[in-house]
Amino acid sequence: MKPQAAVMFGCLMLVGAGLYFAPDSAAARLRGAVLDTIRPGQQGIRVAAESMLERWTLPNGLASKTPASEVERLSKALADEKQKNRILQIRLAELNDQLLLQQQGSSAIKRFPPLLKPSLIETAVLGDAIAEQWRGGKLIDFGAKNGIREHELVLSSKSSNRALIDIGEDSRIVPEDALLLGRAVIGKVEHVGRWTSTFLLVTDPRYRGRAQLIRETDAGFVFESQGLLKGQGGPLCRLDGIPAEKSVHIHDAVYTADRDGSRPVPLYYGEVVEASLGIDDREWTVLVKPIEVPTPLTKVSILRMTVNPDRLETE
Amino acid sequence: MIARHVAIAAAVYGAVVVQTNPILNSVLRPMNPWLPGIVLATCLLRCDRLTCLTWSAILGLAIDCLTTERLGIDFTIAVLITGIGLVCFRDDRPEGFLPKGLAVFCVTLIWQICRSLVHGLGRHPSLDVGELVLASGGVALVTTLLASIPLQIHQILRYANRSRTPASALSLNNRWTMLTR
Repeated sequence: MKPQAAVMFGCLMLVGAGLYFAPDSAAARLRGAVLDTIRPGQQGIRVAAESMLERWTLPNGLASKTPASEVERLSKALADEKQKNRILQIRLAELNDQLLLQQQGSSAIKRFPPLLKPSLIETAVLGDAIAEQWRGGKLIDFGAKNGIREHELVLSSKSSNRALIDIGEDSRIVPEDALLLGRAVIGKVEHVGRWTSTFLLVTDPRYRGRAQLIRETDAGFVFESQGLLKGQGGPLCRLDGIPAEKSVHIHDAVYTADRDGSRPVPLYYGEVVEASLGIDDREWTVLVKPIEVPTPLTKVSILRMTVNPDRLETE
Repeated sequence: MIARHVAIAAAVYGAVVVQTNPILNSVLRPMNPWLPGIVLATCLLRCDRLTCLTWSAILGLAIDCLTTERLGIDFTIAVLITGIGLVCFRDDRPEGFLPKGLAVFCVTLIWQICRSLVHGLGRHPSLDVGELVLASGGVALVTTLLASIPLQIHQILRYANRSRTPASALSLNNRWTMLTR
């Protein structure tokens, strides 16, 4: 290399090292500038792709469907199919369990209706403005003296800016009840007030829930090892407690693990997106991607346990 | 000179945009080519030393900024590859289809291995080197095949232009032409 080029090469290597140790704020600014620069190119490609798609779909009579609406339709269809697939996964895993039990010769002789029955309550998530008014006592303000006052834990959650749902003790929900979106768990009830309650999303750092893996094998879907799902404050959750001797695969489904006689069907959390095991590790490091929560979140369901009236009648 | 800089800038911009565009990515993902490798190899084969170093640094920085990792990794790798390339092509730049393809392959392979090693070692302390080399080799091969398309077209066009030269256009007093005809 010529001396001039060698000097420049050395300078550039130093710049590279400097960039590596650059403060995050400077790096973010640089990243933003580069992203802004390439944005026109990206938009150009998007426009070109859309116009090409429109041109190609015209002869087939699909001109009325814009690519965006088509993508939306297909996304919905895919989500529905995934939902059906999940239900089938659970059903298959249950059937496998039953088959195993039957093979072991343990069959129920007489069956009573279950004492506890799961039930779903649909509830609305209060928007920030209404939640603020509620916490501030602007909507009902008869005061604690008259007994018409929201629970202190709900009111004190103002500083943490937690979202509120519009049911509470009046609907007999309790803390730790699962918060569902469709058939997937997106969080749990944290504090139950008199009429409203706060909830934690699975991505919240304080969220903890027992979870287990379900994997598709040649013999069908099988329940795998259990662990503790923890929120991390980011888009991914962490599944702890999977021993090193067990196997974990990417795309394994993660379901709730608190199955028992009264609640035999597990609920979907998400899927494994990263799993690693160091040489000296005793447990897997598993990252789970929960289902995407729509923004704004307006309607959710609460899964609660109620006493079965049929069982009470048999007494 | 300015035209060359503009052409390289366009190539760098195009490579970065195409490499990161989600629409094109969905098309290219099964093949997984590394377009910046083509641009860097082209720079190495066609530009002078300082231009080459400058544009490799810009290309590396642009790719750095599009990842969530720390800055400077792709920047350093790109400059390092350029430095190695400049030492290798000290006297003359290779001509012809095969050496150009080989240059694209080597540049992409080294870049892929280096960035996989650096990014991979940050996440997992142990890496399967064989698998890494195999995956990087696959990417390099696909990139080379992709780069060979314009090279082939260029060769064909050049051949077509040469064969289309009218006989009347040949100089009669050109001794070499007369001898070879």
